[in-house]
Amino acid sequence: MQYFMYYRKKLALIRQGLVPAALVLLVILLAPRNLYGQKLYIFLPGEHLAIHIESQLGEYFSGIQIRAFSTFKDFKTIIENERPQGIITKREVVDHIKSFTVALHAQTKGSTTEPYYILSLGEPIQPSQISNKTIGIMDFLGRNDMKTLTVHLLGAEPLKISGVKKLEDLLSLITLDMVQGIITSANDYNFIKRQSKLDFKEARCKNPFSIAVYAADSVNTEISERVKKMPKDLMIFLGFEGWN
Amino acid sequence: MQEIVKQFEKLLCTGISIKPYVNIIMHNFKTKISMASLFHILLLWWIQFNGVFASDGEESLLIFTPPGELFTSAITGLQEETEDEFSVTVLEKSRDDEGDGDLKRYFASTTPKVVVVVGNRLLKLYSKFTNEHKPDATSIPILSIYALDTERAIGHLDNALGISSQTPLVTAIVKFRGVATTTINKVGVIYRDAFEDLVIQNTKLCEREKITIKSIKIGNQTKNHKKEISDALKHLIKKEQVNAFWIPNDNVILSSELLGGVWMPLLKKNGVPVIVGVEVLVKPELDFGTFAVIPDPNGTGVQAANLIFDLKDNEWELPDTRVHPTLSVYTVLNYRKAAKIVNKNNMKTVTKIFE
Repeated sequence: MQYFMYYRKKLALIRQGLVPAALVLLVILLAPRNLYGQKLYIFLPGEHLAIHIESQLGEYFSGIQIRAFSTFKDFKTIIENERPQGIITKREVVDHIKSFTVALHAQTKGSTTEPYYILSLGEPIQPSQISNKTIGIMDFLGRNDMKTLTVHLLGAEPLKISGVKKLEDLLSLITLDMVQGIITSANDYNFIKRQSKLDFKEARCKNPFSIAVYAADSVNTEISERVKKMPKDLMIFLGFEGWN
Repeated sequence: MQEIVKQFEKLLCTGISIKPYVNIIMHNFKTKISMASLFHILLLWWIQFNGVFASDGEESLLIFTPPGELFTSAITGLQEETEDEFSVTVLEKSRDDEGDGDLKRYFASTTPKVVVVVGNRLLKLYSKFTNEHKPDATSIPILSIYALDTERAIGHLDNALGISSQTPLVTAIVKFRGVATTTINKVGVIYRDAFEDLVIQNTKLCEREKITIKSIKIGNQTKNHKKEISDALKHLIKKEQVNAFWIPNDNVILSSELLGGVWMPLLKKNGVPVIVGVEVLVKPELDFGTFAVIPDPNGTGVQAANLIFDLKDNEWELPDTRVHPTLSVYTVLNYRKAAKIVNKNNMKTVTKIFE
């Protein structure tokens, strides 16, 4: 009897230990699939520093490694080496990265593209007058590819194109009279207007560029669903209103 | 062995001494190594090393720099931008190395289209070298970066252009206005002769930004500086009622004696924010500068690369504008001093914050 009681107690103790262990296992199995090891990389040159993009998005995308970049060269190199499952960038950038397919298009007021403007001081510079003008632009692709895109944007080739890596440097280009005009997206124009009291004259570029896209290197429902359901304030922070 | 080393160096024509490598090889093998084997090892090493030098069809760019983290960052920016179109060679020269033998050899082996010279010391050394090697060296454009008083430093060189190492005051003030919640529309500047061009030019640029510059020029006599700076500060604070100061990177007027004896007591008393051009002056423990706007080294490298591309597009003819203002900057905020006058929401544009 004593032996029976001893083994019964022992069994109860084992049960007590097994139940929590089983519960932990159940939680692990039923919990959303662990996203550790998944990566979402972002390259959206503009108002925000890469470090701020990472800190803003980090909380919402917990479990997914978020990295933001400030130059195309870094972005491309790291992407090729680390193969993130998803990227958020401009469609024009995705076109230069192999094996990523656009899954979602960012949109504002129903449009997935945003207008670009030529800002100048004194007289406005129309795209048709660009051939004898020196122009500054945010270089998000590298010198040669950016030149091709700029010509597409304007519909004509400027006398000289000065590419900068930071939006604030674009403002400095015109503040310091280093170019006759700067090209900026509608989003970035808002930042420039907040920073500067220069009396800008504006003319709309012939063509728009994409706002942003989410592209994936394979079907990845976890990340794309999280991207799609991103809170509105994060989308506004990144410069758009929603995904299409 | 000495003979084979000499022969190999002659064969390489790069001007780089291979003796240290030979010593390593000999030390590691510790045994008698045949001259033929040594030659093979050196040849393999050369094939590997050859990648840094000009390959067919690429134009060559020589960078002449002192060691240092700041310069490395600038050179990285420059290299990243130019490496697809140029063969880039970096010659690092330490402070105690005043000879030009290595420069001569690099110059001959790389035949650069443009030479980037970092800082004043190497600019002096390189201009001496070009003077001694006319007309070959003087026909090659020089791009000077990180030289203090760039205008004067390259003024005597017909083939030089440069990027100023001083942040334009319009850039600095606009950046500060972007984070400040108080009105920043009248800024006091005290300067010496060497900064006159910068101040005059930027006063006009500031007008377009709706900022008035109230500037006072002081003399070059150091013995008068204490009184001159004190009078100028009092005038600008009381009479002109400036709402910020911009202080140039001038070691003479920012000497520790003047800093502790004049600038700090007067500015602290009146609480006017101070915009400076070096990080050390906004350290909270110093309790002096409010906001620093400093040339961004990587951005300076990118700007230098763009100037090189412009030169190339212009078939290596120098442009009319020789000294270009610094375009890219980073910012440091002394939050302890600025807490009452900055908006936390605007601080996202600030690169570094000292709390």
